[in-house]
Amino acid sequence: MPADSDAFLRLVDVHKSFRDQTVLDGVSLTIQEGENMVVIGRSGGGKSVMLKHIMGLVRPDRGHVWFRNQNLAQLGEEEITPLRKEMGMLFQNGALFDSLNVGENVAFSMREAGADESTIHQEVARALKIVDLPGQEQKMPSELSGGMRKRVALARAAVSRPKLMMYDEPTAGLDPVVADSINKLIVRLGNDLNMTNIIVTHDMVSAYTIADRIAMLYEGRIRVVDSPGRIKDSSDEVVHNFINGISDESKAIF
Amino acid sequence: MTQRLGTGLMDFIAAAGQQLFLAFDVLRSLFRYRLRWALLAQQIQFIGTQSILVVVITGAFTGAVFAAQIQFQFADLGMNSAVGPVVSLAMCRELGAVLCALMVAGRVGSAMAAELSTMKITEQIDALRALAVYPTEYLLVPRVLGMAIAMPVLTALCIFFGIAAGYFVFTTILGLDGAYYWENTLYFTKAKDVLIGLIKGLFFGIIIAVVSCHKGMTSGGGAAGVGVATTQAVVNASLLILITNFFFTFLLNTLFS
Repeated sequence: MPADSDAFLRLVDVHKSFRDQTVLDGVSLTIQEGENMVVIGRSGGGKSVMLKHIMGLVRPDRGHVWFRNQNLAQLGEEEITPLRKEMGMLFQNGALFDSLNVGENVAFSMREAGADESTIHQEVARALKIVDLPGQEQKMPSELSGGMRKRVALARAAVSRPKLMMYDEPTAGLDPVVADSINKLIVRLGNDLNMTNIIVTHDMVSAYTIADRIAMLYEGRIRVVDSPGRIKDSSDEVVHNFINGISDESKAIF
Repeated sequence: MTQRLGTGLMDFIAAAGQQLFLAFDVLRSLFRYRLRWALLAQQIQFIGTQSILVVVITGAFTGAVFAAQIQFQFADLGMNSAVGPVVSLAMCRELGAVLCALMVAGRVGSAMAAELSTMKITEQIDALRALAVYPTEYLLVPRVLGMAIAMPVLTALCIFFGIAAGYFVFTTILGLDGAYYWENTLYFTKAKDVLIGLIKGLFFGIIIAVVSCHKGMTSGGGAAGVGVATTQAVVNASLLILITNFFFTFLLNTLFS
């Protein structure tokens, strides 16, 4: 199947099951360069798995993932590796390397690229200042709070200025003030560095703040893709219930 | 019952295949990518330097007790002069490498499996891949190579301290003439005996590293998964060492006959 030449990233009919559980059941989604796409959906609904497909960390059982006209589903691990230099990902719990300190974590991709130590030093200091953690280079990840870890992870992913940034629940478990600062940071980084952002979240405040478009993943498929304004006024019951936090009433009691 | 046996056999074959694949992938990555000297040094320090005390104690007490037992049995036959060579050959050809490998499997293999499986469940291995680094090259090559370098040295130490402790028991505790021990030990121990021990040490090291890395990289979810991976790494590596030792003994004996 030829790639859509306009699309920066295109998921086509992606299926994925783990053991007997179907997680993605035909996801199709196109993302344009430079846009902020927010993916919403229930916890455990396959949002993280979808991101991992885009990163090539997980392979689809069926379907295609086109990134810059290359089908990640058909490339081997070592062929995807260079493409990943154009991508960055903020993992749900940060996934900082716990054998390295904060500075070494942030410097990781620059060191891999062979940058000289004085540049690395400057860039790490700058990146940590941007995420509001100046001078914390020597701390170990185990000494940091959840919010701080996320911010360090964000600095680590963004410091190499990737073209595509993916955020897996960037504000989950953070207080509203820190969450807001992260949201603003995502938007600012996107604008300043001309990044394409994909943000997975179930925090609707974040979604409205960041999104150019919002996609809802429901039962393994994309239920709807639309602007934040239209999503807010959606007449679709599933979308309406999700964004307003309305659960199906259960009559059962313990 | 038959079905369970069949599933067990299939799992065993699958795991063996994966471990073989992992070993080849490590070998290929060793030549394909730039070697990470800092990580290799770190592994040699962890596997080698920090295991010295454990290995020396293991070797020394084995040699000591072996010397005593042989002397108790051989004294009646008037064969005290054979104690040294018997201890030496046993340490060189079998005990040094096997006991050293079992101790290293317990100390280092478990730590390797635990570290890698924890990295897996906390998504650190995915993060590594996301940062455009091939995990085999970054994580596994330094571990397997570090083990391949450290194990022959540790085996040599184990053998040396075993023979030395045998000498100590022979002369000090049993009050016999040390000249007997040394003379005959040096006379009957050939370079090939030491070489057999070191070659075994090298291969046991690779077995420990490959099994532990495989268990770590393929562990299941959660804290329980880490526990299972760690236990299985030590048990499987230890069993594999004992079983392959049998074949190595015959193979090396033929090669060095």
